[in-house]
Order: sequence, then C-alpha cells, then structure tokens
Amino acid sequence: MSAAGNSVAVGATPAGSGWRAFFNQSRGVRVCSCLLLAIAVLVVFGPLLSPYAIDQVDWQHIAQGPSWSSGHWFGTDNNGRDLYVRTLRGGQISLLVGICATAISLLIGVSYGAIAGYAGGRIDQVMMRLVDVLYAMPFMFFVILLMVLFGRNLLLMFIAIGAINWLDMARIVRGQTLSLKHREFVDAARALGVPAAGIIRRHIVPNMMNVVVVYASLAVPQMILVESFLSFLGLGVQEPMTSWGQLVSLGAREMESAPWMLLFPASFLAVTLYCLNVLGDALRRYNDALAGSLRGAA
Amino acid sequence: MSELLLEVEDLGVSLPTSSGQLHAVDSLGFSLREGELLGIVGESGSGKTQTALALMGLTPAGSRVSGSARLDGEELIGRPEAELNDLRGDRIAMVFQDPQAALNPYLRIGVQLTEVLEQHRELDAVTAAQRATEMLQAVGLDDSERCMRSYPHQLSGGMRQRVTIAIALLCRPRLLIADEPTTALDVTVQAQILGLLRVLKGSHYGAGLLITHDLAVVAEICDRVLVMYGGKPMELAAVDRLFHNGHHPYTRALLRSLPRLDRPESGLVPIPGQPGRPTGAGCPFRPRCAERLEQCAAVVPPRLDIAPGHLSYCHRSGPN
Repeated sequence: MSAAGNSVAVGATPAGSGWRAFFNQSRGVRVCSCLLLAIAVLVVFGPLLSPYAIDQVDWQHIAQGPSWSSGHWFGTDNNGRDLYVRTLRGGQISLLVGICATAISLLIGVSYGAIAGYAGGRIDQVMMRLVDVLYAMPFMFFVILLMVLFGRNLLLMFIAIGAINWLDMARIVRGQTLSLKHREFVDAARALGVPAAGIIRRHIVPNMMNVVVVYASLAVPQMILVESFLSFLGLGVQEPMTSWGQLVSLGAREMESAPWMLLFPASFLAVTLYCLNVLGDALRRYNDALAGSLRGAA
Repeated sequence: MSELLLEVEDLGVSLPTSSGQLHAVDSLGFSLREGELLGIVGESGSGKTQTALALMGLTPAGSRVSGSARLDGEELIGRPEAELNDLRGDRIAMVFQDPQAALNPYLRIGVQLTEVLEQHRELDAVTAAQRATEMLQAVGLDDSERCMRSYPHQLSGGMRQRVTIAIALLCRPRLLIADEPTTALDVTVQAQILGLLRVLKGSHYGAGLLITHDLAVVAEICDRVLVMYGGKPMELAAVDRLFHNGHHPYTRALLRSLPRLDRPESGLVPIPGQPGRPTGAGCPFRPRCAERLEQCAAVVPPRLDIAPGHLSYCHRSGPN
C-alpha cells in the first residue's frame, strides 16, 4: 500500500514543483517577477547613471519638469534636486526597510511562536497573552513614541516596524507548531534524545517554512507601506536621505503645479507593491498546490 | 542464564481524560534478558504502546507513571528530561509504526541519521556520515550513498522502515523497542523487516521489545510473549508454551480467533463483546470471558506460576 503511494508521490512531483512550475502559474507571475527585478536593478545601479548627487542643488533648474536635455530625467523638486536620483535612492531605503523589517519580524516571531507552541501549557498561555496585550496597543502610536524618544534613526526604524509586525508572525508560527509537535517524527526525534531546542530548530521550524515564507513575502510590501506612511507623517528617514513615502508626501503638496514630483515616486511605489503582492499570492497558491499533491500522495 | 537487561516492576501509567484518570497500564511487570526478544500482544487500547512510551519517558503531558523500570540496573522512571535525552537514542531506542510519519519530510535521510550521532557520539561530519552509510548497508539498503541523499518521500515504505531501524540502531542501543514496526507495511516487506530485526539482534542491539497485535509476528521472531488486556498483564510465557499450553482464557480465546490452515473446518471463533474497561476492581477481561467466576468482578486475579517462566493472572488455577 505504501509502495503504491510512493510511486504516486514521485509521479506527482515533477508537475507541481520547482522554479519552473512557479513561473508557469500565469503570465502575471512572470511579468511581475521581471518588473520587480528591473526595479531592483534600477534602484541599486540607476543612481550611478545620473551626474547628479542626491543632495546636489541645481540652481538653474528648480521645480522643473522632466527633460532629457537638462539631465533631470524625472525633473527636479522645489530645492532643485534631481528627482531621478532621489526616487531611486529613496527606493533603496524603501526596499531595505521592507526586507530588514520583515527579517526582524521573522526572527522574533518565529522563535517566539515556536517556543510558545512547543512549550505549551502555562508558558504558552503567558507568552500568547503578552502578544494579545501588545496587539491592543495602537501600533502607530508606539512607533511614533519610539521615534520621538530615540530620534530618527534608520536602524531604529527597522526595529520599530519589525518589532511590531512580529505579533502576527508569532501567532501563525505558534499555530503551525501546535499542529506539528504531535506529528510522529517529532516523537521519533524525542525518542532519539534530541533536546527541545534541537527539535524546534531541526524539525519544527523547517517544516513550517512554506507557510512562513508566504507570509513574509506578503509582509514585505506591508512594511514598505508602513515606512511610507511614517515618512508621509514626517517621521521617516532624515534629509538628505529620502524614501518613496517621503517623496510622495512632498510631491502631494505640489501635485497641482508640479505633478511629476508625485507621479514618479508614486508609480515606483505602486508598481513595487503590486508586484510583491502578486508574487506573494502566487507563492501561496503554488505552496497550497504542492502541499495538496504531497498530501494526496501520502 | 544470561544477564538481566530490563526489569519492569509494578509499572502503571494513568492518563488524564475528561472523565477522570484512565489507568492505561496497571501493575505490569516483566523482565528481559540479554539477547531476548519479548513480544507484547494485545488489542487496541490494551496499554501496550503506553508501556513502550513509559519506558522511553515519552508519555503524553499530564500523564502519571508509577512503578519502576530498570535498564542495566538504572532506573528509567521519573528521570529528569535532560538525563533521559542522554539515554534515549543511545542506550534505548524506538522504531515507530508508520515510517512515513516518523521521518521528517523536509530533511534528507543522511541528516536524520547523523543527527543521532551528533547528539550522542560527538563525531565529526565525515565520520558520522561514514557510520551512517555503514548502518544503512547493515539494514539492507545496498545503495546507501544514494539513500543518504534522498528525501523520505523518494523511498518505498519498506526502505523507509529500514531507515528508521538504522536510525534506532546507530548507537547500538541496549534495548530496542519496536512499536508495531510492520503494521504499515505489506506482507512480503513485513517478513523482510522481521527477519532484519532478528538478524541484527546481538550485533546491533542487546534485547528487544516488540509491540504488536499480530500473533503471527510474535510466533515468527519472539522468544517470549506478554499478553495484555485492559492495561493489565494476562499471561507471560515462552512463545511455544503460550501457543500450545496457553493458560489464560483470554490467550486461548485469542488463539481460537486466528484462522488455521491446518484445521479449516473449525472456522474462526471470535471473542464476544467489544474491548473495553469495566469499572471497579477485578479482571478487565471478565465481561467477555466465557469462564468467569464470581470473584472475577471483586478481586484482582492473583499471579499464578504455572511453570518456570510461565505466569498467568487468573482466578482459575490449575491446568485448563
């Protein structure tokens, strides 16, 4: 019986796994992957193409529209700074915040949730009630308080955003851990004398990575949005550094007289968020299909 | 007589349930000598798996284990978790029923093997991998190099069970507990796995405890059998003696319920009723027992020494 089941598993895998299967899901997935890759490359290497620096003021071109001849491809802002360079450098910050804050929330959330779920009983109760309490705190208020107390510091912003988003992650991971810890291979590992820390690290966490990765991929755009919101409120990165949120905030003030100041950073932000969401969603669907085919075979 | 390896006395496991404590195992005692393979037989819910888990220190949270179990003179019951972790996998190891579920689906076989060696032997990666490969060959996986790199779903059921046996035997445990190791496998593979357990005894493990509901499996490889019902021991005897001179009414009823090729005309004689646990003291088998006496409901049956090494727990004394 199990031998037959096994051959089904082998037969079912090629159709449903690997990078190729992921990209073959739909044209949207392929287009969004390419767009995102293009944005990432542009954001990292794009600023090198322009002769202007991020804080360089061009007195001849203040609040000018996009023009090829002046070298200000996206135009300039009210202070005569090149918007092309500022948009791309701002993108560096936005993407960095998205990735780092997600990484921090992953790190805290996964370890916290896995420990709570695996320990169970009273420890679990206390740890999860603490999460509930933190959930009840107004999140923006907390971030703003941190910013006010410790000053505007990029690292602190990563931590503040990441440290708040880990609550969701902890709940998801705890739920996964609860269902995993009664699986037989966990008992088998215990029967081999593997201590609790080893079981969590070797057996529990790898087995829920599929769910965690999907959640993380959807968390990245969320983090970017939070940072944009903070910057929009004037609590984000400090001048002369900038981010997409800050640029959108500045551009929004001039949108009637100088629409390009809003248009360029906003399109970058929107396209990036859209692509990340599409890819996260595709990852979730791919993952469900894969889990389904594995379950069906087992 | 060879050396005493495991001595279990008055073992009890009680589990919390919604309707109070359930005595899953009650006043169980047996011993195991070097080189011996003891079968524990019983229906579902007879407490055989809980016995194994109690020896491993793996009973579910909230359960209470009483009595004593000594491995080479060292007490196993009530040890702190850290000391148990040193013992488990090293001197006492377990093979589970479903090899598909007992292997981590996301780790390569090689990693799952070397994990044990890292835990107990502190070997470097190269030596550990070499030992693991040798062990896979010993359990009959000839293409061991490829096997080390495979994931569990890439192996067949029989191969997976060989892998879990290899994992259990890596540190040459004194005691190997196999909990229904062949139930999830088909019959031909079953025979191979049982043959493997018999061949490796002595060279790769000291003594074994085979938990099963299948009397045929017991007859094939065990030296002695313990029959359990409702968490209590019913009869303990050498395999031949149990099959030919079984004393306890439950044992005899079990044997009658097996299909016989040599006597097809006699048919199957099922045991009436459902397995369950009557409340109160006395013999748990009494509601289904054809030979019950009045005192069966009131008094726990005494231990009868039928012959040297043959024990029965029944109010009916004397040969039946």
